[in-house]
This record gives sequence, C-alpha cells and structure tokens, in this order.
Amino acid sequence: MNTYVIIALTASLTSLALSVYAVFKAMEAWGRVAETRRLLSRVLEYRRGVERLSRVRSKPRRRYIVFSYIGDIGDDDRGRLEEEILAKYRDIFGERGVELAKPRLIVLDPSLKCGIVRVRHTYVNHLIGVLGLVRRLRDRRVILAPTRTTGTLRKAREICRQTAGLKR
Amino acid sequence: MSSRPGDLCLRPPDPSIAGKIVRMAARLGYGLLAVEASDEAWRQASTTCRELGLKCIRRITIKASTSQEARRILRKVRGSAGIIALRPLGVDAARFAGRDSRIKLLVGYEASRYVDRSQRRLLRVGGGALEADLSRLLHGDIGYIIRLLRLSAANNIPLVLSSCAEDEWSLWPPRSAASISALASVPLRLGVEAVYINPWRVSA
Repeated sequence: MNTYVIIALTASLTSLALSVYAVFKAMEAWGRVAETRRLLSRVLEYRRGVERLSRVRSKPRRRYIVFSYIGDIGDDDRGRLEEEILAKYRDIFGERGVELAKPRLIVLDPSLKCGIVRVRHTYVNHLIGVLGLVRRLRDRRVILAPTRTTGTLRKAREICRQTAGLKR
Repeated sequence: MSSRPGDLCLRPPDPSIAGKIVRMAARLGYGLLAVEASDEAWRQASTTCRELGLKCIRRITIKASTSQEARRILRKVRGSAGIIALRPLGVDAARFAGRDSRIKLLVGYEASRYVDRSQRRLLRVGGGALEADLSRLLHGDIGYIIRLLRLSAANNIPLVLSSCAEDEWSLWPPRSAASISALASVPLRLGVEAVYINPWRVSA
C-alpha cells in the first residue's frame, strides 16, 4: 500500500514539475517571439520611413538667380567676384554647405550691370542672403541686389536684359 | 500698407550723405525709410524722399535703464519723431517699452535678453517690434542676428530688419535682407514680414 502511495506521489510531483517547466519554456518562447515581432516591426517602420524619405527627396534642380549690381565691376573681376561669393558662403555654411549648394557665377555682364549665379534649388534663399553680404571687390564697394530667380538660363538672360531698375 | 519694403534705421552723419542714402534706397526699391539724423540731415533726407516719392519718417533712439528714466526722456522728445526706439539697459525699461504704445521698436541685443512671456504678449498686442540691426552682420556678428531671428520665430514676436546704414553702401537689398532668415534656419516668411510688412505696421 505504502509503495503505491509513494509511487503515485512521485509521479504527480514529477508531472507537476514537468508542467511548470513547460509553462516556463512556453513563456520564454513567447517572450522571444514577442521580441522578434517588435524588432521586425521596427525594421519595417524604418524601411517605410526610408521609402517615404526617398519619395520626398527629389532630384536636385538648378536655379538661376539674376542680380543687378551697383559699383564698379569689370570683365576681369569675374573670377574675383565668384571667389568672393564662395568665400562668404563658406564663412556661413561651411565647406559642406558649398558642396551641397554648388553656387557658381555663370554670367557677369558689365554692360548691363547684371549677373547670374547658379545654385541647387533647395539653397536659393541661402545664396540670396549671402549675396547681400558681398560688399567689397578689390577694395571697391559694391552691392549685389538679387532681382529674380528662374529655372532656365535662357529666361535668366532675358531678365538680365530686361531689368533696368538698377542701371541708372 | 504698401508691398514695397521698408528700412526703419538710416543714420546719415551729414546732409550730403543723407541725400545719397535716400537715392540709393530708392534704387534698391524701398518705399518707407526712417531717418535718425541731425536737423539738417533730416531736412535733406525728407526733401529727397519727397522728390522720389518715398515715405520718410524721423526716428529717435533713446536709452533707459528704468521705466522712470524712459518716461522722463519720452516727455522731452514728445512730438519730435514719428518712431521712437528704445535700447533697454534694464529689465524694467524693457517691460515699460512693451506696454507703452509710444515706443515702437525695441533695439539691440539687450532687448532680446529681457523678452519673456509677458513681454511677448505686450509686443504682440501693443504693435511694437524687435529690431535687428543688419550692420552688425556686415561686421561679422552673425550670432546676434541668428539669436534675434530664432527668438522671434519661437515666440511669434514681430521683427524688423533694419540696415542702420551710415552711408549708401551699407544699405541692404530688400530681397537679401529677407533671405537672412535662411541663415538662422527659420521660415522665409519671417524674413519677408520683417522687411515688407512689419515696417509699415510699426510706422502706421
């Protein structure tokens, strides 16, 4: 009789221990699954974000800023003026800013007192602000006054010919 | 109110330069000018303005450290200028400028230090504005302008960008002045309002 009781008790205790162990294992596994799901959802979210950003980030386009100038700038000052604009831009936005915006003096026409600078479309306002900071060229005082921004060089040249506001 | 830009701080040292500054401002497209100068220079500037069809206002900048001092100076200069600007040297004077409708502009770096919630409300309601002096930018003080622009953008305080030009070459092209907002990474709208809208609102 006693032997049967002991065997029954041992069996029940063993089964209890096994079931507790199984529950723990199941919980651990569930935790791992939940963790994996969480990680997966984060990866998917990141992926969606990247896709969204790539949709927003559009192709860089060129913009041409037409400016009139007041002061003495000759044909031979073209390189100097471009250097001055780049130097001012670099002072404020740094070398990386210059690399991103790629500002470049395209046209300088002393007969029309007009110039055209090219820049990437997202940095138009940065460059217009910087043009206001250019005040001296070879110890001569100048003011560069931006007049219009266009998307094509042809239109920019046209505006350059038309603007008569600052040529008096 | 006009869509032409305004410059509320010109400081010609003598009459001949006053005429030159006003002519250059007209070439750059300005429609409203505030001149802070001696009587002779002011007469010359206003005559040139009339010839060129610009609106010209006389301006005075006062300094005060307390509200009593500001009141005393305001009584002295009553009726002598269209725009009175205050450079506050203490928090009391700055608060006074915020609630007194005679003071149209709060000038300088000092003013930006004293702006708090009540000051913001007073400036928005009272028709005053903060003034940023762009001549400091030409001397390399970019931090001052960035601080004022960000303060104005964060607290919705009206801002005026003025050249404070002492000769015709220190004037700012209006479009460039408005684009200064790009330097501080604040919306372009703020710069445009500071050059094209707020000067007219302050002078009205």
